[in-house]
Amino acid sequence: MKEKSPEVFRYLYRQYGRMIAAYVRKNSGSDDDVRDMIQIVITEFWNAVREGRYEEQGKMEQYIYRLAYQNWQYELRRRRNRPASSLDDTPLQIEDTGEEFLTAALVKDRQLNAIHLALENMENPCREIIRMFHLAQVSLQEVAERMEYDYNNLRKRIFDCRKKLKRLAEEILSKNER
Amino acid sequence: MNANLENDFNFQEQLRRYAVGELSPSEREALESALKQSPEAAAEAGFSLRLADALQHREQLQVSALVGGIIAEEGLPPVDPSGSAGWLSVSKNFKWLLGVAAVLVMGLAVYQLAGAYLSPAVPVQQLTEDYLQPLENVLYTEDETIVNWELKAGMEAYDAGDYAAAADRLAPYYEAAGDPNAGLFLGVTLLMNKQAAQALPVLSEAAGALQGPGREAAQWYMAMAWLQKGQAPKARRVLRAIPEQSIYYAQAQSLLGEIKPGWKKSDKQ
Repeated sequence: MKEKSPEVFRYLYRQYGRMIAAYVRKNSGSDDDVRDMIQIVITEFWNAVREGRYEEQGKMEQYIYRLAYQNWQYELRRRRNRPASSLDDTPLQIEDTGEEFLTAALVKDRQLNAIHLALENMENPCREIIRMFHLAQVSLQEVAERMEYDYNNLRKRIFDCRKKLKRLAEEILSKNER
Repeated sequence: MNANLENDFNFQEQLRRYAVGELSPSEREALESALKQSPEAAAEAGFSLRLADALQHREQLQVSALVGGIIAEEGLPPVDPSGSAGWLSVSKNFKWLLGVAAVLVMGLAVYQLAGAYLSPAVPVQQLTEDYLQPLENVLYTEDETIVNWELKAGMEAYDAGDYAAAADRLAPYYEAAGDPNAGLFLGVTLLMNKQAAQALPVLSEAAGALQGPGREAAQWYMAMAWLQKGQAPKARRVLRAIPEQSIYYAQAQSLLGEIKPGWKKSDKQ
């Protein structure tokens, strides 16, 4: 499971997808909600295994049911307390939504998922440039040296790659919305 | 998109530092104030924040996308046809009810006849002890500060296995609030205290008020309560009502297989 083997996730879906779907539908969830909750619960289960929080204590199905219950109750509360019209106009980062339900926020953010897919599909050196510039907290000068670029040329490449990434993400987003 | 913002290195560098939390509080405040004045700058910032998230949580997003792909390939699980009707709901079809009643009466007669001739393989109380486990505490409260203290203390005692103290706390909360989730845990608590007669009405109310797994849990514990009282036929009836997709279905079937037709009240002694 830690290796993210597709067959393991397929097994989990076949084994527990029905239970999660039945619970969400019985508690006023739509098909879209069912899809999201299955993704959230299985992703969260994988994360619990990875972080050592799930230690095979008790039955796996009870643990998964508990995740479904907690996440769906949270979602219902969120809908009651925060209608779409009251969203802040300031851009929020995922952590701001509350660490406990981070996975739910990750799965439900369509734009974030589109950017993730765009990054995964992007070819190098663009992907590496973006990763180093945005995540690795390495100075631009160091990035230029590591990638054997002229400093000014690298600055231009960053903008080009970022634009390319945005275009790819927008394409994925509009394709998914069709 | 304004091409100037996309190519303004200083602005982009500031957004990067904003997204990874490198800005000082005053720099952050100044930037957020500037973003409120310009929708285009705010959109650029939104992209930077999501890009930082996509990089930081890459593995979780990979797993989520993998599961999304599997759902797309295999389709969503079908709708359960029995999901809409509550197991305690009253049907308007009187003839149907009459039919069910007739079957139940005949079934009861068969049990009584069989009970006179067959002897049970395992004592009822032994079965209860084998199967009765406390329900895992899944009561979720979003904000600890607004939790009713009686409920909180009751569930803490429940988690600690002190069921006498848990019942003392949960019972007044349940009576005052009528919360069926609390009722479910109160019912389990009473069962753990071997107070099946008191547990039954509370669990029955929870089964009527809750949906999905909550209702199924209440059904399972009602069956436990009937067994604890030595009423095997009633336990069987409740167990049979647990739907196939329930997490309790497998253990309900297993227990049904162990309750022999010859159970009668005297066997609990």
